[in-house]
Formats: sequence, structure tokens, C-alpha cells
Amino acid sequence: MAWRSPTTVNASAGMDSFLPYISEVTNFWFGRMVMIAIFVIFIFGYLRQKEGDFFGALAVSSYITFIIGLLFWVIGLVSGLDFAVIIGVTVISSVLLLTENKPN
Amino acid sequence: MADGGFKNLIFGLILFIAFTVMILTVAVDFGSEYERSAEDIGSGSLNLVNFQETANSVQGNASAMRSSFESGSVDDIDDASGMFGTIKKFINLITAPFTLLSGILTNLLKMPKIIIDILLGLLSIGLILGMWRVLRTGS
Repeated sequence: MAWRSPTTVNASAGMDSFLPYISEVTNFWFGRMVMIAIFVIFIFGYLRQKEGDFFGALAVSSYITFIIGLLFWVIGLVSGLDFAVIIGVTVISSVLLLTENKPN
Repeated sequence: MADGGFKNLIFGLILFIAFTVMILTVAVDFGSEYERSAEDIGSGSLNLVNFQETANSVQGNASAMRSSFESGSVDDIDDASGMFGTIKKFINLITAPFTLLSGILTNLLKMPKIIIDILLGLLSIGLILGMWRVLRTGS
């Protein structure tokens, strides 16, 4: 498949035309890798501060990924399938966090 | 299922449904302001319409079961099927959360039907073996 040349992008229209082009030429991998990076940075950052609270780390990082992923989804940087995965992780992490048996 | 395992399962299911509705509503409402529809999320696999249909069917079954229990009349027992009709209602009550889960997996997450059939088949065998254990040992 031949990719569109960057010169065909109307850059004066702003990021709204440029970001979908990035998604197109990288087959959504750009947005996907940014989402993975955000998730990993926040989950390890949380775990470094509070060791042993894995479900808490999962919930915090998935909610942050969900909010940023929502913004990326509406501008076309994250595909609908990737966003569905983010929603699934967010829901499951919320349930795990609230049903966790914590020692008293 | 000991030590509140079943209670946790039901609690987890309710939370799962509540959070799914909440997060999907946020995504769909926010997306609609930027001309994005729910059909865009996971190629239409995640949308509130399918979810509502699943919830409605489960709610309908639960209402029918409740009215059946509340009637408290022996006339409700079908003479032809004898005690099997009553036992069937009990089994339906026990498997209701799993029916709900299978509905969610099928309609919301678009999981292949064969996987759900295998899971529910294993559950049915487990229930039968569990009932047999109760009859044998009285535990």
C-alpha cells in the first residue's frame, strides 16, 4: 500500500488534519504506543511509591489511560478497537479494586 | 464458594455492569460532541443498546422468577412435570448470574459463542457433580 505524502496534508488546518495522517501512516501504532507508554509509566510510578498495591496501581493507570485515550480517540489518534480494550481494562481494574480482600 | 465467594461474585457482577454503563456513557457522550458514535468503539461491539437488551432480558427473567416465588401457591406446580419444574426454577435461580455474564460476554464483548458454551457446559457439569456430592455425603 502506498502511503500518502506528507505534503498532501493541509498543515495550516491545524493538528486536526495532521494527527489523523500520523495514525494513517503508522496504522494506529503511534497512538497505541503512546497509550502503552502512559499506562506503563503510571503503573510503575504508582507501584514504586506504594509497593504491594497492584490493583490500586492498575486502577489509577487505567483511568489516566482512559481519559487520555478518550481525547486521542476523538481526534483519531487511537482506533476504536484500542479504545475498547482501554475501556475493558478500566472496567476490570475498577471491579478488582473494589472486590479486593484487604487484610484488616 | 465458601467464605462469601458467591456474594463476592454477585457484587463483582453488579460492579462490572455499573462501571461498564458509567464508562461507556462517558465515552459515548463525549464522543458524540466530536461526531464520534458508539459504533466506532470496537467496531460496534461496545454499545449501550446491546447492553440494555441484555439487561432487559435478565431483568425480565428475574421478575418472572420473583412472581413465581411470591405467588406461593401449589397450583403453580405443574403436575405433569412433578418436582422437576420446581427444581428447574431453583437451578435457574442459581445460574442467573452466569446467564447474565454470558449475555454480557456475547452481546457486549462479542466473545465467540463456542467459548461461552464451553464455560456454561463446565458450570452445568460442576453443578450436577456438586448436587451428587450433597446427596451422597450430606455435606
